[in-house]
Amino acid sequence: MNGFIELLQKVLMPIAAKMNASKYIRAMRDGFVLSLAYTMVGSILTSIFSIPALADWFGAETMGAIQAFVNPTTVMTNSIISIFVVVGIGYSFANQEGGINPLHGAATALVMFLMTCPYTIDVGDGKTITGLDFSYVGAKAIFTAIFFGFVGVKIYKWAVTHKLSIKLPDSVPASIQDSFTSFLPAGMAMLIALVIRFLFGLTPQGNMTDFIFYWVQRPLSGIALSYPAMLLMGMLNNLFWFFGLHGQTMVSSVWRPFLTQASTENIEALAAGQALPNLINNGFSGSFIMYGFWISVPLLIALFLYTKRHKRNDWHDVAKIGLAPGLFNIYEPLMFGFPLVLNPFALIPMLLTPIISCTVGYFACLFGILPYATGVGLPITTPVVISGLLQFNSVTAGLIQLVLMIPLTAMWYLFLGIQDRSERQSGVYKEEEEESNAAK
Amino acid sequence: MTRILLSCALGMSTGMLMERMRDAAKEQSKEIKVWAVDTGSIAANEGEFDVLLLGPQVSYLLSDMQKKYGDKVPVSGIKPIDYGRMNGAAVLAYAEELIANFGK
Repeated sequence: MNGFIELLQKVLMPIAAKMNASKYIRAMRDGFVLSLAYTMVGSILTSIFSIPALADWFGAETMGAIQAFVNPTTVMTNSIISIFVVVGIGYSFANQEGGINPLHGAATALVMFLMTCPYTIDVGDGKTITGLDFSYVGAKAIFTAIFFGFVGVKIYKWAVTHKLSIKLPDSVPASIQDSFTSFLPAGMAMLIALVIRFLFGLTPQGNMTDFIFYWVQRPLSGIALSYPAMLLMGMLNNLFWFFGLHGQTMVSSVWRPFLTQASTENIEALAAGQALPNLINNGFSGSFIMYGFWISVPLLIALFLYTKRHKRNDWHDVAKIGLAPGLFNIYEPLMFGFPLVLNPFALIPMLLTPIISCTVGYFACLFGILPYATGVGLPITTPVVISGLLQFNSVTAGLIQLVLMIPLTAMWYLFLGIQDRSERQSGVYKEEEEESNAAK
Repeated sequence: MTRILLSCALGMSTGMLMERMRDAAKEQSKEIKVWAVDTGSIAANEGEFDVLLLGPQVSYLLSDMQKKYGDKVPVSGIKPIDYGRMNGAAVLAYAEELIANFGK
């Protein structure tokens, strides 16, 4: 067991360090974080006013009017999410690269991204109008946006650091010379964007975003948004935590683009009154895998139950410290205080937890016991039951979360018993010693 | 006045520890400034702190942060057990010890 843990540690620690040192991954995280507050407000409002029962109470017409009133909070955030992504990534990446104005870097990335978008919209009858189809700045374009977030900044920085300029005679004052050269980095980036636009125009898909969506984003999403991938994601999250590292930060830096795409599609469908397309999205991932209550709540209940019947004052103290934060998904006191970190007894329940919760949630959705999660993203501190209610628009989701706490608590109780017995036998824990400590 | 900056992924659990450290300082009638931020906001606080302490869950950032700030102020990780038990007094003592020994 110890050899196995050491081996895992040797594999995971360098990955964690590398991932965090990577400018690209950090920029991607920042890019998606930029949109979070806005899309969250939009998606929460949309989902609340789409609750079917409301239409029964207030009449479909009234609710339709209210939905139309709040819809801009979704349409102008979720439906144009790729603009946030390209600007956010561009800004963060330019900031980390250094040597250039990050705002200019972000603007260059944005312009290159927009310049590859189609701007004629087919309105039927062979007629077209000029305009930006939202689908080319929405969920479908996330990968194109990520690409230009990096490439736009790289090109801009190259042009700036190589002092791209037009040579004018020495007699021309420097300030006039500057006014001629300041637009050159932008001009070069735009020329490259034109070439890219032209080349993708030759493909069967006709433009870059449809090409990338067809060949990269869609196949990868199929893998990343699958049941096995979700299980892996949940287990990796807890495995990172087992080694004391912030699992959600690690895992979501890879999965977030896919989950965001899926959530955005769901919210758009919800706003349009259509069936939700994606089972796995941010809402599902939060409510059934990633939120901290899956560990903290059953472990806290198990600790309180166990210390009521067996004397483990140290555990009781940890549970008391961990209670209030634990209810809001903050489980660092349990991770480091109990501890779960590098505690071989805790590894199995930690790995089993996401398997149990994800499987139950997944098949409940598949068999129609639960509706699909609406795609609402919530703060990671959203407690158990409430997260299910809000992310699925369904009381059943909250109830399933609650009922799942029973087997999970039983599992922890069992493993606490094993750990307690083992620690008493090996002398790691001595009751008398603790009592004499307490008396001091 | 000792200025202690704590940091973790979101500044939440270090926020709890911050409260405990303030309580401990009050008990010892010490004047300290202690605050907690997410790791992305450390840079915005540059020059404001005398010691930087990272939560153990973001310890993978330690070498990075030591490179950035380590020549001006002590940068270290909080001991996991003190972190888990939210032992404000112990972390306060550790911070003071780091400052006292810095550059020696």
